Order: sequence, then structure tokens, then C-alpha cells
Amino acid sequence: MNCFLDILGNYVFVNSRGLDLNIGGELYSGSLDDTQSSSDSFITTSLNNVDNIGEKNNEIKRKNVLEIEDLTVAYAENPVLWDVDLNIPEGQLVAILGPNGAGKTTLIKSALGLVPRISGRIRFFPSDREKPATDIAYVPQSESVEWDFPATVLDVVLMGRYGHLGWIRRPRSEDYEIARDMLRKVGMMDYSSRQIRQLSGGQQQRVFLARALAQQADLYLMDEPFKGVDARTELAIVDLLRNIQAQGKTVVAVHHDLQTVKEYFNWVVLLNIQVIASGPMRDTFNEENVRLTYRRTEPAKRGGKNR
Amino acid sequence: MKGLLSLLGDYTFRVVSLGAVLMGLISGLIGSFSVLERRSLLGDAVSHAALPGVVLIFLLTGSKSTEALMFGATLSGLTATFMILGIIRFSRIKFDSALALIMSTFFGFGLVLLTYAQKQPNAAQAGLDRFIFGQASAMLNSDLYIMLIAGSVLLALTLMFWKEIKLFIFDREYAHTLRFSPRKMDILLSAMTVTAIIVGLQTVGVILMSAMLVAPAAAARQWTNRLSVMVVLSSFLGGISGLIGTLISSLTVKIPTGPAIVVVASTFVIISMLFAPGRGIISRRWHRKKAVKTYQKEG
Repeated sequence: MNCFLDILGNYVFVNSRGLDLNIGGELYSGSLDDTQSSSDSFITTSLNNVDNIGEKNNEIKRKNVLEIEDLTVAYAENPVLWDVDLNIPEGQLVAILGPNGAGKTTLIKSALGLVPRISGRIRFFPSDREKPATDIAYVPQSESVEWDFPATVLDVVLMGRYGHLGWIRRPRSEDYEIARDMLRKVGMMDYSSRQIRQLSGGQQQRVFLARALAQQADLYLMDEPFKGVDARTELAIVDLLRNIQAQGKTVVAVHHDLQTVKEYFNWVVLLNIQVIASGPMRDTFNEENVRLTYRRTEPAKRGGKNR
Repeated sequence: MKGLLSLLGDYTFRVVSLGAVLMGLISGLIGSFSVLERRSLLGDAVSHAALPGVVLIFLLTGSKSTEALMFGATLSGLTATFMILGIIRFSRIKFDSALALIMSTFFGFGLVLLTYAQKQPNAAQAGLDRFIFGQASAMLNSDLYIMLIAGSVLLALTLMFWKEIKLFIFDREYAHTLRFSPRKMDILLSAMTVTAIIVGLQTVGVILMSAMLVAPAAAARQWTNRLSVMVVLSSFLGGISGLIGTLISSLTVKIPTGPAIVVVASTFVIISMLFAPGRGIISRRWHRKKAVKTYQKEG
């Protein structure tokens, strides 16, 4: 008995150390080292342009909400992500685009500390040390959980509030209110007391979105938010994303569809194990970069190793 | 009826039935989490893995007090659990294989130790094997106190970490991003499972213990879609199984208590699988037939 209590004392009641995130750090300096891929030119040019006007208008100088440096992740021996350097500026709708096996999901998961990385530094909100990690909301693929779990839709959305509550504390009535608000936003209010196992794929996705919204975060990391949803739901979700952006917040979403990416997002990260290009949609999403991203993965990997 | 009344006045029966009810309540409570986490077999591994700890403590100290033996069981149960979790985490071996590996290794080692202990010349080792099949009738008043304390601690932990347990079982990665460390939650839940198992061991034994974790929870899951209701119902079914099982074994001749309890709990599972509204087999059949009929009418 004693030994059991000791174990709980040691592990459970100590302060939550939580995610291994590096929050805080220097302001984005704009110095890009030469190890980056061809994408640099895009970022640099766009930033230079911004700098020219930027003196008067501070808002235009883009703050980064996420900086990734030298990130390498491997399952077994094969690198899934190789030496990824990436900056995500504030207030953008960012699509992560790439072929199957390009490491899109891994990029999001390793940024969140869900997948161990071999090397690399991840900094969320580098210019704001005070920001808590609850300011990052993760929307996993809806197949990643067991939906035959005894819970209602409202129960699940309420989980978005748990990070703010921390250990042990119970949701308060304002948390319930926020959860209901978010259900209304995704058009699922009528389902709030529904069993989650009775939901369709698109409804599951919207419940997950509502859960993330309930976090009232500043940065949303979404793994294929449009997977398995019908055209109407897709448009509703796009509306929702634009709403988030309109509040000055940032969305990073894994996306598959080359047809719609230009319409839905305004910033793109082209990924195929390495970052092929990243920057504003207008400058970055061109035939050359897309071709480079979707070619066979082998040459890109070798190129990475030779550096 | 007369037999029943005299039974209720019997001191041994009161102790044993109270112990069985407590054991059922506890394993029903914790079993709900194991079943929903799809880790119910972990209970099987832990209970088998408790055996070497029991025998080892006896060989080292010569004591056969419940406290000492339970301490040994807890140690080796926890060791086995963390070895299983470690194997999953650090190797490419999957959960079921890690489980089988650790369970058979520990149980085999336990049997080796037990055989060695039983070959000792004095008779001190007699009764050690009660941990294999359980021996509820040997329960003492002091054992009840241990169960009561363990049960209260487990209940308190469940209430305290209700929100975290729910979140973690439903979506562990999301829980991680909200800074509820999966390592801490794993430790919490496995420690709770190990405690529930150790408490139940001397009633139903190493081999049948996992049934007590799975059966009440599986039965309860059939009747409800709310986690809170499921946990309460599972605990209740566990307790009732304990009571009915003890009654059956006391009123009839030569039916051991532990197996009787497990048989009662399994009966609840069968009834629930068949008759539960919504999830039960009969209810699902009926709904399907009705649907087919309406389509045929329309077609």
C-alpha cells in the first residue's frame, strides 16, 4: 500500500511538466542560413518587400507563431522528415501540401511533441514568452480515436477546456457555455447530447473542430480537416477557418487537394520529407515547385544527405 | 430460507461475503477503464505476474501474512506492468506480444519458485497456492480493512482524476497536447489496475482475476452510453456477483467461492450481450428486421 502511494506521490502530484516545447526565444531575425532549400528565396524576397514598407506599419512585419529549425524525424532508419526549417507567420491560413508519405502528419505531430525527433528545435510563439501552451489547438484526424466511447458530443467539445483547467479542477459553467458556443459555430448544437458513436464522418470532424475552438487558442494545427467530409461541410469548415484568421489567429492544416488549396489558403508549405518551398500562396504555389514536391522522393532525400 | 438466515448470522460468511462484495465493487470500477482503454488483458498479465512476488516474499521472510504477500504481489505486478509498457515504448514489439511474453515469463518463474517452496521440509509453505485459485473462505477481518482502504483510495483517485481519465482514454494524443502527460496517466491507471488486482487475488486467484476486471465492465457497457453510469453499474454488477457467488458457494456443497463469483459475473455478461437495448444482439436483430420490412413495403 505504502509503495503504491509513494509512486503516485512521485509521479502524479508533482507539477505537470507537460509537453517538451520550447516557448519563448528571440524575435525572428530574418537571417536565413544557407542550409535551407530553394524555398529561402521566396521567404527572403517577400520579407524584403515587407521590410521596405514595414518601417511605418509595424503590423506588416510578420511575427512568427512557429519556428522549426533543423527538424529531423525518423521511424526505424528512414527519415520521414529531413532537416526541416520552417517559419509560420502569424495570421495566415497555411496549407501543408505534399504527396503521401511526405511527412505532413509527422511534421504536425513532432512539432507538438507527439512523435520523438532526432534533432531540431521547435519554438511556438518565439516573440512571446508568456504564452501558455494551451494556445495551441490540435485537431487530429478523426479516425485516430475510438468513437465507440461512452460520451456525448458536448462531453468531447468540453475536453477543449481541460487544458485551461489543468489537473483535477472540474469544468465550470463558463466552460460549458464556451463548449456550447463552439458547437453552435460548427452547426452541431442540435447534436450536443448525441452519442458520439452515432455521428457521421463529417460530423466527427466538426466535433473535433469545435473542441479545438473551445481552447480559444491562437494557433490551430489541423491534420486533414477536410478528410471524409462532403462538399457542403467542406465549405462550412473553410468559412470557419477564415473566421479564425479574421481574428488574427493562425491555422496550419495538412491538405491534399491541389485544386482547392489556392482558394482555401493564402500561405503554403510544400513538403516532401524536406521543405521544397514555403511562402505566400501567390509566389510559392507554382508549377515548378509543385513538380519538385510531387516527384519521386528518392532524389530529394539524397540531396538532403549530401549537404 | 432458514438456511439463508442462519448464514447471515454466521461470522465467517459475513466476512467472506463482505470481502467478495468489496472485491467486486473495486474490480468493477477499475475494470471499466481497462475495458475502454482496450487494455483488459493487462489485468491478466499483472495477476499472473503477481505470483513470483508472492512466493519470493515468503521465501525471503518466511511470513505468510496477507500484508507481506500482497506487498510482494504488488512489487512484481508493478514491475511486470512497467516492463510491458517499456517494451511497447522502446521496441517494435506490439502490446499483445509484450503482454504474452512478460506474463508467461513471470508466471513460469512463479511456478518454479512455488515448486521449490513446496519442496521445503517444514509445512510452513502450505496454503501459498491459494493465490493461484483464490481462497475466499480464508479471509480475515484484517483483510477486509485492507480492501476497504484500497477501495477508498481507488474511489478517491477516480473522482479526483475523472476528467483526466476520460480525456486520456478517449484521445491520448490530444491529452498530451493539453499537457496531461501520457507517462503520468499511464502510471496512474496502471497503478490503479495493479491495486485492484492485488486486492482481488486472494478471493478469486491469479487465473480468474482478469475475468473480474472484464466481465462487470463488459456487461455494464451494453446498457449505457454514459461513462459515469457505466462505471457505477460495472461496480454494482461486480459487487452483486461477489454477493451471489458467496451465497451459492455457501448454500451448496463444495463449490469454491472465487469460481462461483466469476460464473455469476459471466452470466451477467451473457444476459447483457443478448438482451441489452440498443447494443444487445436481440435488439440489434430486431431493429434490422424491422428496417428490412419497411424497405420491402416501400419497394
